[in-house]
Amino acid sequence: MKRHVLEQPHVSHPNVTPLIDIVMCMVIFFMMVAKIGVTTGADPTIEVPVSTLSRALQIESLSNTLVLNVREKRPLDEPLVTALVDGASGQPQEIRVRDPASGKSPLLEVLRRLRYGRDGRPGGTGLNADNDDFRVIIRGDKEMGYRFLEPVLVACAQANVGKVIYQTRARTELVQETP
Amino acid sequence: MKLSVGKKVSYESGPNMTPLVDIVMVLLIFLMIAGTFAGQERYLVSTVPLRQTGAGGATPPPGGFPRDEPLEIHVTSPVPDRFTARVGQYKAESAGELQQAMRQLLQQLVAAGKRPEDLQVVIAPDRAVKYKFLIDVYTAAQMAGFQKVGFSTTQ
Repeated sequence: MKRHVLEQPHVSHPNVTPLIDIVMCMVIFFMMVAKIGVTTGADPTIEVPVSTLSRALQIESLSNTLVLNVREKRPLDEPLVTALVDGASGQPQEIRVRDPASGKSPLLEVLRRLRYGRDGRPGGTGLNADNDDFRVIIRGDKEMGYRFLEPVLVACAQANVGKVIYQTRARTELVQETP
Repeated sequence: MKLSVGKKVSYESGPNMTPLVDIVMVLLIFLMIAGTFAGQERYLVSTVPLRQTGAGGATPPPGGFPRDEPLEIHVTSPVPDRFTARVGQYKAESAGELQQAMRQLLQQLVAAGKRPEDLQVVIAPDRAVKYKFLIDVYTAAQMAGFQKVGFSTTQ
């Protein structure tokens, strides 16, 4: 009777199982940790100040949050505030602190709408419901004077925004010198 | 003459993993390149309602105005790249000096019977002071042990 001998498997190519295990773990890690396609409206050209505070808050979720980019508007002596208010556009738009034509404050109106719902007034239900957890993150240019930040803070106070947060960078990060 | 033929290579021992490895590697490289990671950002939360000084008809913020009179840090900038902070009898020209002064002040207040969690610090800057110095002042106050720090406005 002819005897069949089984050939030894994997004799001609390396065993890739450990490689696949590790790579799969890395893929799952990156999928869970990396933020892809998530835009908060933060202007990356703004150089925020550095903070050494080790117990500063690290925000896990940016939902229910409006990021306000604040810098000096040259040559005018007024702040340039941009934010991603309309998510459909995908780009931060300028929100004026004060409109000289109408005398109104578009920034205050936006903040009130996000704080108090569509009607911009306390109370109401549905689309007019108050949003007590609404918060503002200020991403300010480190070289601007306080006179540019002050009207933004006043608008936040007038809109009764409960939490104003100042974004900074950790000291450990490599800081590029501006020319 | 008998020719010696090489042993036949066997691939029947398991599924072919090459396409899987290719796809997974592409996914991995994409995620590594396209992903952005948090970690360098630090967020300073204003724990004191914004105070409006010089505005008599100011609307009280949520929760009302604080009961105790807060400690005010007056910040000025005599030259563009420096700041001077005055709090109580102390004067500081750097974040380190201010932190030290604030720490001494906190010790005095605690010795006088105040609780650290009740103490409020309000930063009252000059309009020309750069934002980066305000963050230094803010950080110094919090690192000195004051838990409630905020800004005041004059508008």
